[in-house]
Formats: sequence, structure tokens, C-alpha cells
Amino acid sequence: MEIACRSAGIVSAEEPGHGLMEIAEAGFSEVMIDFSAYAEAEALEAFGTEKNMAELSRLPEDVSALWETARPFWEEAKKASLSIGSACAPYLQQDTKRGDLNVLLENLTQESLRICRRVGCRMLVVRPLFAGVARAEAWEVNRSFFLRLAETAKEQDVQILLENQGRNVSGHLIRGICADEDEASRWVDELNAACGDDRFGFCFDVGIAGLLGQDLDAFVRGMGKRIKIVVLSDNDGYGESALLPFTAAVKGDSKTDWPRCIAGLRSIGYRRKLVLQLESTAKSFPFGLRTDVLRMARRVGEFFVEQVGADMEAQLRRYEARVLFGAGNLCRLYGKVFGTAYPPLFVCDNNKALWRQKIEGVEIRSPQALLALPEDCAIVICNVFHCRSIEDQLRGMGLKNPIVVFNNEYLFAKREGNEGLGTGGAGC
Amino acid sequence: MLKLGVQTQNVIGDEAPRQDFARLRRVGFDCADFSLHKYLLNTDIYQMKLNSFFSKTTAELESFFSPHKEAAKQAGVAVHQMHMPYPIYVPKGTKELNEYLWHEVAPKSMELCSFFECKYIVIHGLKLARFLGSEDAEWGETERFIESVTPMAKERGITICIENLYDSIGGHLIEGPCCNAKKAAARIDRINEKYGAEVLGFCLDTGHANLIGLDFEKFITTLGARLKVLHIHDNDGVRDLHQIPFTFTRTRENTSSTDWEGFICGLRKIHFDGVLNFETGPALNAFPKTLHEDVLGFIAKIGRYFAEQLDGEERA
Repeated sequence: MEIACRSAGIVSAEEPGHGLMEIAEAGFSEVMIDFSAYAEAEALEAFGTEKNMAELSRLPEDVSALWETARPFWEEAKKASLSIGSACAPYLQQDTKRGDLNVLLENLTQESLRICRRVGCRMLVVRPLFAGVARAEAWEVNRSFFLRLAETAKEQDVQILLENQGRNVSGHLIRGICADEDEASRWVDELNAACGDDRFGFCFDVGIAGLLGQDLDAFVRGMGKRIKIVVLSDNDGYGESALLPFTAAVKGDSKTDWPRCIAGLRSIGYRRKLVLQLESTAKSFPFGLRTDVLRMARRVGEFFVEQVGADMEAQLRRYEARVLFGAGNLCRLYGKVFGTAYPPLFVCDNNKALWRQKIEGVEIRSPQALLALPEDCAIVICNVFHCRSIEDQLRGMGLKNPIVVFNNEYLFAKREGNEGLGTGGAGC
Repeated sequence: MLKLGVQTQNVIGDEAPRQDFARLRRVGFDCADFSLHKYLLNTDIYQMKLNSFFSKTTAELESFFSPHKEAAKQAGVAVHQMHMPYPIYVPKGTKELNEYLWHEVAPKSMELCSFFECKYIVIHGLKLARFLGSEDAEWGETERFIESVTPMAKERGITICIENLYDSIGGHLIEGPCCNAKKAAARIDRINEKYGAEVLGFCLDTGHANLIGLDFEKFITTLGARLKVLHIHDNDGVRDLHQIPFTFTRTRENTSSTDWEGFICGLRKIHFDGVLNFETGPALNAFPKTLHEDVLGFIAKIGRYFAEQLDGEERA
């Protein structure tokens, strides 16, 4: 799985070098370029009006000039050894009053596709047209729009990714185009059928879906392999934002249902791209801490890779027999989740006081008991905090048995933590 | 013109139901949504503090509600729908608690629904998706509950209505049971086919839908004729406030931040012929008692506005 960082809020359009270097120093090797930095939504809103001409400064009068303005990004990314694996086309504000800019948007998107090819980027996220489009005509208008783009995309060998959208109702965001997995998958499938190849895919913006309170697991399952990029960002559940995942928390609970997001991605065997989008977080931290924030973002990305990529059951299935190491909560969790299908021979723990007692109906023994195991019996470590030192201990004992780390603690612990279901919803 | 209804919570008391129902009729409502759930509050159930209300025999319960039934009849108000107490299952509740909810409260609610000559009873699906790991598994349990009361529903000509609910994570209200209209429609059809009767339908709660940004028009048109009853109320998109429609804004233009246009358009498209029922009892709490009748009249006026809009031409 690839982990990338979206440039918005970190890389300045005028001097991209510093931000890109910070992204690279944080451990990222890939960046997503946001073309709206060169054709800003606010500037588009003012396009052709006398209002605040300064806002037009980042809007090229001729769309072909987009390349010249974006070129320094590419050059500096190369210097920082960052690849540009994906990009976002310019878009309008969700509360836009401009229903007259769809031709301009299309031209900017066509140019974005050409730039993608130049910078070696193979995927462009394009938001469906919505401004000035009657709801009943949304599919037909967008079908024509995307199929026109597909011609250029084919020439440039770029895949176009649709993205789930919100719809602004007087400041309140509700589900918009492609926010429903049935609609989104139908759009992608019908566009691909019309093209005759897999020119279209889907970019799943977790932030928007989370903000709209959607069942993230169901959405991901519904979209399945159509998802080519997952954009990870958090928000306060009230308005759009781009926070580092897990930072929008109240009383120890994130406002985004990350466990169900991970469960969904795990269920479809997702192995594609994860993009960290943390514009708001990056901007809010003091400049001196930004590299640390980006390092944390990178680590969060790795955590998602570990969680999404982990197929615990597949690992357990590989071995005929197994024992558990660590007689704590994670061991109990193992018992509840896998205890029936993959029962352990015994549990061992370094705490002498626990020996000869039982946990989940299984006897707890000394680690010395492991020495009598056949070499193909797996040792499942049920301790997240000390898993590395336990592994060292086992190898130090001369054990050659396969070692598996039970890493489902986040998903299942969260599920257990919701046992007071419904209490958050007085009135419902 | 469509009939108008309002929930009885905060509107009809046990002391003077005749006066209360008369007032309801006077301000313009033809129907009532009987709030049976107020006799066994959800907050108490979650805290496992049960009262003995539903321990009464059915005959005792009917006797208790006879003045209400008589008062409604005298006022010319039909009890069109009622709300069963909820939750009907507490995941970490005691066996005794859950058996009481399932085997006492639910069947007696069905008996009372029949007693009031009420056609629809709204239930809450079980909130178990995160507990069981999937929405499908959650529905399995809800269906098991529905099956336990469906024979009574068929026998008494009652339609049980499942309602779109929310859940909560970090204080953020997110999708709960029955928020997928397509799945709900398929499940309703399957169960009705099995029983050869309209034993299951849907109750759209506009407030719950607004909290999770559901697209009203799409949701309603997907449900079609399966949509039997309504819980109309408004909120700020964040909390389940049960307030009067059109009262929330988020911008300086001060236009409504709830998609009432989509709501009307959806109902129009499916030719909704049910009752425009408001679940706005809590809205009265904000007003001085002397204004309660005016507030109810205002809610009825909004109902008439919706009814007039629905009588109009279908939007292109």
C-alpha cells in the first residue's frame, strides 16, 4: 500500500520547495498535487467579476498557463525525491453561486490531465459538476463531461477518479453526487462501459463521508475494487475540515468512525493508495512544529497500512496449532473473536502469579512451556505495547516457531467500547 | 388535502385528555401520534430503571387509556400512529430486562395500538451494528424482534413501521439502523410477501435524516409506497432537537438549512397520501405555557403549507 501526502496547506504555490522538502523529511516518498492551488476555488468564484481582482492572481487567464504555474512544484518534488502519484483537479466552492463556470472548469481539468502526464502522475481526482446543474440532469451532464475528459485521459494515460461529494443546503452539508455507494458505483461502471476500458475509478474521501455520518464500512464494501485512492482526513462532524485522523476527538472518542472505515477497507482487501489530507492541522500548528506534524501524519498512514493490511484470520489459518503469549485483555479479545475457530493449546505469561490459572477457559503456563512445542506451532503475541521485547525474549530462548502479533486491538477494542450503545442518542 | 397529526408527548396529558384533545382539534390537527414511549422512557431503560407501567395487565392498561381514547373520539381526532417504547433491547442489559422489553412491553404495545384503533406502530431497530460487526447482522436481530410481533400485527391489521435512526461516536451523530432506503425497501417487501399482508412499513424521521445529511428526495422516492408514516421535525444538523420546521439556518442569508424542498419534492413524487405528522412535542418546552396553543397552531399551519405544496403540480 502506498502512503502519500496531499500538498494543500503544506506546499505553497509560489515557493513549493520548502513544503515539499518537509514532506520528504517526514518520510513520505509520494505527494498528491492539488491543482486548485493554481486555480483557487475563491478565485474562481470571483472570475470575471470586478470584485477583488487580487483574488484572480492564482487563476491563469489562459488555462494552458496552468503548467507554467505548476511547474516549480514538479521541479522541487524531483529535488526532494518525491513522486507525484496522484492529483486533484480544480473545483468550485460547495456553496458556489457560479453556475456559469463549468466550461472553464472543464478546460482546467483537461489541462490538469495533460500536466499529469508531464509529471508522471497516473491518477486525477475530478469532482463531478454540480453548479448550475439540475439534480435530475446530474448524471447526463456529468456523463458527457467525463466522457469528453476520457478522451484526453486516454491520450495522456491517466485514470480519472470520481469522488464522493456533499451538497450545501444553506450552510448545511448533506449527501451530494456520488455520496451513495450505489450511485457512485453505477456511475463508475457506466463510464467505464462507455469507454471500453477502466478509465474511471473512485477516490473515497473519508472526511466527507464521516462528516455526513455515513456507514463507512458499508460504503467501502459497496464500492469495492473501484476505490483507487482513500483520502484520510478528520473533522469535527459539523463542518468541512482537513484534520489529521484521530485528532477530532471528544472524551476519548474520535468523531469519525475509523474502526468501521478500517473494517471496510480490510474486507475488500484494499491495497492501493492512502492519501493523508491534513491541511487544517498543518496550518494550525506553529511553523516550527510542522515537520513533526508531518512525521506524525506519516506514522498515522503506516498505522492504517498495518490495520487495513492485517488479515489476522489468514495468518492464523496458516498454522495447525498455536499458543498465546500474554494473559491480558487482548488475550480475552482473542478468545472472543478467534477462540472457537482457532483455539490455543495454552496461554503463557511472564507473570508467575498467573501460572496454572485459566483465562477464557485456557490454562496459563510459564514461557518455559513453549520449549516443548513443535517448531511449526505459532506463538501469537497478545500484547501490543511489549510485542517487540516479547519477540526478543522468545528468540533469546532459542525458539524458532513462527510468531504472529495479534494486532486487532484497535478495531475490536473500539467495538467492545461501544457496549453502552444508544446512550449517546437520547431521543433516539 | 392531507390530514395533519402531531405527537401527544407534551401535548396530551393523563389528567385532562378531553381538554387536551379538544385543543389539538381546535388548532387544526385531525390526527394524533400517540407517544406510548413516554410511559417507559428510553433514558430509564438504558439505566435499567424500569417502572411498573407495562406490568399492568392488558385490561388494566386499556382501562388506563380509556379516557384518552374517548377524548380523542369526542374531539374528532384519530390516533393514526403510535410509538412503541424503545429501545426494545439493551446489549449489555440483564436477561430479565430484555425479556421484559421483548415479551411484555412489545406485545402490550401492540394490544394498545389495536385498542386505540391505530393502524401504524413505529418501532426502533436494535442498535447493534458496531457491536455485532455489521449492519446486516444488526438487521438480523431487528428482524427477529419484528417476527416476534408480526403475527399480532397481521391479526389486528396493524403495520409495524421501522424508522431511520442515528448512533453516536464521539458525540457526532452518525448512521444508525434503517438509514439505507434500498435495503429497507427490500426487507419490507420480503417480510410483507412472507406474511401476505402489509405488516411492515417505514417511518421517515426528517430530523434524524437531517442529522446525517440524507438526501430526502432520493430516500423518499426509493421507499415509495412503503413510506407509511412521518416524524416531521427540524434541528441544527448536529443534535436531535425535535424543533419546528424552517427554524434553523446556518448562513447570514437565513434560509433554512434543512432541505424541505427535497422533502416536499420526494413526497410529491411518490404521491404520499398519509398523514403529515409532526414529532415536535419538545418544541413546546421553549415557549411559555400561555403560548403553547399558538405554537401548536403554528405547527398546524406549517402542516397546511406542506399539504398545499403537495397538492401542487409535480416539480419538473
